[in-house]
Amino acid sequence: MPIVGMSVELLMQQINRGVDGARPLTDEHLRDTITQIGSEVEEFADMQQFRCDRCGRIIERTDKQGDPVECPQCGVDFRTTPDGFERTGTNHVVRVDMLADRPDVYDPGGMGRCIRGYLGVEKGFPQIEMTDSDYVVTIDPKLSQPSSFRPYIVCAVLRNLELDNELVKILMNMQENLHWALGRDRKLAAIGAHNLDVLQGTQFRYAALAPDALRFVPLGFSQDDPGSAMTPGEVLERHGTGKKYARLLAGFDKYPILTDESDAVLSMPPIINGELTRVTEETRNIFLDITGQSMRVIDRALNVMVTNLKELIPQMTVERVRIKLPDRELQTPDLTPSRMALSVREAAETIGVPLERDALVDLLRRMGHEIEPASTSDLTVLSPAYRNDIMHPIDLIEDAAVAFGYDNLPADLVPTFTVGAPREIEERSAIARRALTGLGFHQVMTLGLTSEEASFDKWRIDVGDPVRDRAVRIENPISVEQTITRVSLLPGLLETFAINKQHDLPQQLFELGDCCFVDREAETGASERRLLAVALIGPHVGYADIRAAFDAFAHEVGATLDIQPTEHASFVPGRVASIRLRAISGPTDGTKARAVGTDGEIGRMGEVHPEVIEAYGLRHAIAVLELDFGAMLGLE
Amino acid sequence: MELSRNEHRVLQTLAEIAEPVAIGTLAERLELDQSPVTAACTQLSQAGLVQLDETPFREFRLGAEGQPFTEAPLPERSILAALADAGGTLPFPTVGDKTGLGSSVVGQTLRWLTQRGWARKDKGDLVLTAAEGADAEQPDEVMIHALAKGRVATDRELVDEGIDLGAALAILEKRKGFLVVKERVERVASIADQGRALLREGVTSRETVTQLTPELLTDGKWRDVELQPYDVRHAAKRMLPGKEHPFQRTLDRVRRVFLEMGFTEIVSPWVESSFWDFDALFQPQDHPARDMQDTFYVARPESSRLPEDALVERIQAVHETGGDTGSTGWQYRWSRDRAHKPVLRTHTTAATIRALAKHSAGKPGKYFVIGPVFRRETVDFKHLPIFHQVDGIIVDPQASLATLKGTLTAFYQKMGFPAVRFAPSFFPYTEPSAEVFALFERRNEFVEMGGSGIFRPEVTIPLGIHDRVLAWGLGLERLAMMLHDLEAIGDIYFASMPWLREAPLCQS
Repeated sequence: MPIVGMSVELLMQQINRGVDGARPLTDEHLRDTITQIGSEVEEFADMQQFRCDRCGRIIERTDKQGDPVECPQCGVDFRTTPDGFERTGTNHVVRVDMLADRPDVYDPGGMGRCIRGYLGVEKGFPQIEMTDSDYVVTIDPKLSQPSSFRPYIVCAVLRNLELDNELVKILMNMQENLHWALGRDRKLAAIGAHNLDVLQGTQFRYAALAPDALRFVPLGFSQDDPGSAMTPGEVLERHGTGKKYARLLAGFDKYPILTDESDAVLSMPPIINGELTRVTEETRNIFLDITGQSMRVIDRALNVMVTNLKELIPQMTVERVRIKLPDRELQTPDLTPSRMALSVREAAETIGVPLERDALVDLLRRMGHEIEPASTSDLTVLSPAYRNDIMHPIDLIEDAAVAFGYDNLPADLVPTFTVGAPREIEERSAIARRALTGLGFHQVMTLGLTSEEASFDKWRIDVGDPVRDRAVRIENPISVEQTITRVSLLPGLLETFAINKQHDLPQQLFELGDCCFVDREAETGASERRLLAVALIGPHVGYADIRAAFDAFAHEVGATLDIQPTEHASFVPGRVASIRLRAISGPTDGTKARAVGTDGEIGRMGEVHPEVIEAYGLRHAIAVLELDFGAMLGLE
Repeated sequence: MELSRNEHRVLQTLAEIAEPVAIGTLAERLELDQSPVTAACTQLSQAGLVQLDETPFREFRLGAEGQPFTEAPLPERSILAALADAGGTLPFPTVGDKTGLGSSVVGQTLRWLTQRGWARKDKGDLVLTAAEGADAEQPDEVMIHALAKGRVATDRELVDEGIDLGAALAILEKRKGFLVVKERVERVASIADQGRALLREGVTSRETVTQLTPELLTDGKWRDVELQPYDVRHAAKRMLPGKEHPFQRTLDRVRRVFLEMGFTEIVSPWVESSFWDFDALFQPQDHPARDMQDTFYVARPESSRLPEDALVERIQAVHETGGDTGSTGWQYRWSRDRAHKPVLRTHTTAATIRALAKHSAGKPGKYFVIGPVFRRETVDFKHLPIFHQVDGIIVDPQASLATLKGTLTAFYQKMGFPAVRFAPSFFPYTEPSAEVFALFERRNEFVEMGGSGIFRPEVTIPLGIHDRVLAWGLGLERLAMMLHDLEAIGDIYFASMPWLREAPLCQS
């Protein structure tokens, strides 16, 4: 989750707004409050501020992070343009690890509103007056086709802003955070903020245009330099941000473009805005556009932008924009609250505390909800349009629980009596471990993921051997050492010998654990078997040692097995035995063994081939045993 | 009074010698090993019959650096000779060549030349300053020769040979690797007045044996002998039992606690369909946790089967529109193909959700699973791409956030963590959700242990479950690292033999 830095001073102003003589919270109290409403405070820090020379973006970095390496807005690489930014001072911030489902509290406006409610300073949610503007955006039907799919746009006109350095930064951070939280890195929602006063006319067009249909100067390039104008296609090839997000338009033959009445480009969503409409501290009026693939998502993103900016800039006025979709018309923003019924009893039972109607109403209002006046005992809850996470009444119950305070919850137990039951294989495994530790072996636990090299090549198993296809293969491994699931425990035992070369010999190890095999019969295509592997290393180790351990072990776990000569590439010829199933005795009487191989082979034991010992860089004889423990006990 | 045979002989011999004698000498005279003689002396001394005195002494032999100089002269001696030949002064840089010692040895030797007052460095020259007598063999040189051929000698012996030990050691002890010194103790015994008195009065003795043998028992001869007493304060040889892995012991403890609390143990496959790992848990198909970035997708096998169509359709409906759960759903187009895609399970919640799907609606139930889960994480001291979780669920009409907190508090108390705190959190499949923190007393802080919550109706209702279901998923490696005081998660999986052998069983 992203970490968002918020100016402590600005946040305190927001929290204490409208409270006369309020004392500011201490950093510690602020940390606690933010934790209790569900976000984690990473740290309080003094951030260095930088301003990108090219696009004006304010970038904040901790001392530990050092100087910025690139501009998140215009994509300029400061490593190749070292003088591309200037330092503009420091800012005491609280750095908060944000809850993914609450993008409405990612800035001091929204966070302040949420904390005011939680502390009981201000309940419910604010009503925002809106008027209708003359602006109309017409959507090209081609944007609904797969070859240029980005069918939705919502817009708003914001007037009477007074921006400073900090507010411009917040406006830009809001866009980036919403891109992350709601937009899936711009795929589902991409936001553009534009200087309204440079736009011509009121009839705008959101169209799908050919990659070379027009030219415009993208953000970060000089409007005065005619050479810096690019076609949409060139933006994807030449502009830093264009290259970074080109994948979002991959496969399209037409690109989404938003233009004003004079065909000037506001933005090329979801890639970049035009330089022409860039927002600066001097901007007084803003045109906001959000495009995307999901109406629900872009609608919420717009509502968060508008309502949170209104918290920070109280004198700001909001005007609606008319959106002409191919099949219908909308007015955005639409700040109509969502309405949901909530059972008081359900809420009290879910939280697990006695809760009267009035108490629940108060908890919900402290979380920014309103309750419709009604005569029923249950509640009709109105949730503000900036909340993205209210899908079900259960979401309201969680809000009530948060307001109640997780620290105030009692620690109760369900009174229902239940009888516990272990898995048979685990109980038997415990007996097996007891037998083996009694024989002087030490248990190891090694990783369940491994590589073909470690599992097969080191063990002299040929490329064509079908056992190699029994391992589950990872499509997107993160390292060459973990590309498949383990199908044997022996490599882990020998690796453990290898990392313990300098310690006293003999060493005697075992592992009793699951291996995962491709299994066409299984629902998911693979299944686990509980395997046992035992290994000894030392100057006098030989077949007799592993045979003795095997016989003792088989006796303790109640297995009767046949031992027959066999040959295997990993073992010394003539010193390897096949372990075969005969019959089972033991506590689960009547269980009959199920043959694993065609001949009932469930494992092998013997002396490890010198070439294998060499492959692990070891210098002493090794004897091993590996068998299918579940099959041995008839548990499968 | 009766003494053992050895004690009697020791006492008699000491009376004959009539002066203090070293135990070694005494043993030689008695033709016995030193250890029974020491044991007898200790016994006699405790009975007040013998006076036992301990005298510390030092034992010397030459170290590897000193041995060459039993034959060759010390480097400062060679330099002294060269200086004398040259009339008293040599340019410093030439001394190495003149003596054949090389410049680095000359550099190291300067210290000894100065300390002995034989020469000093004056600007670029080495100047002879040796007084009369420097030609004579110095005490340290005498001592080196005395210790030739690997001889081990005590301080007393060397002094007896006329060596000025103080002067010799002043040089030799400072020269690295020249001398090996061992601090030892000599025990000297002498008969006490009480001992003489006892001998005068007359005393009987019995044979001493160390081992009680079958013969002694068979013929009853054990009655006539004495079993030699031991110094029971000494440790014997070191034994190390075979042991279960410390992490196994933690897993067992976790398992035992849930069984004690009435839970049924369940299991689910490592390779899981996206359907059970994500879709059944109401994780939208474009959720970042489902990215190739974070989840291991499986190339072989290529596809997993889905459960019966009716369930798949209910899951599809809940994603798209909320179905009949009272939810709005995620409002997107759900893809059946993506649900077939196998992954290495990213959480053991895949097991509990499968158990819930099989659970008889309307009945209470408690289930838990312990097993490995897989995340596409870069390896560091806290992370591996595979780690263990314990997941649990409680299906119960009385399930609530308060009983969730109570259940996890009971669990962690049984694991040795006295208190649990909740903080609000977010997971796609639980609501309300809580991050779980347990009080780790040794560090006096609440440590994050995992996530918990109540399954969303969008998760339970499509499975036919209408009771509330408590759910949690807790990391186990971190817990084990705290209990076993480990620094890195790799210490568990790439274990060192000493740790496996020595980590005490009481640490679980």
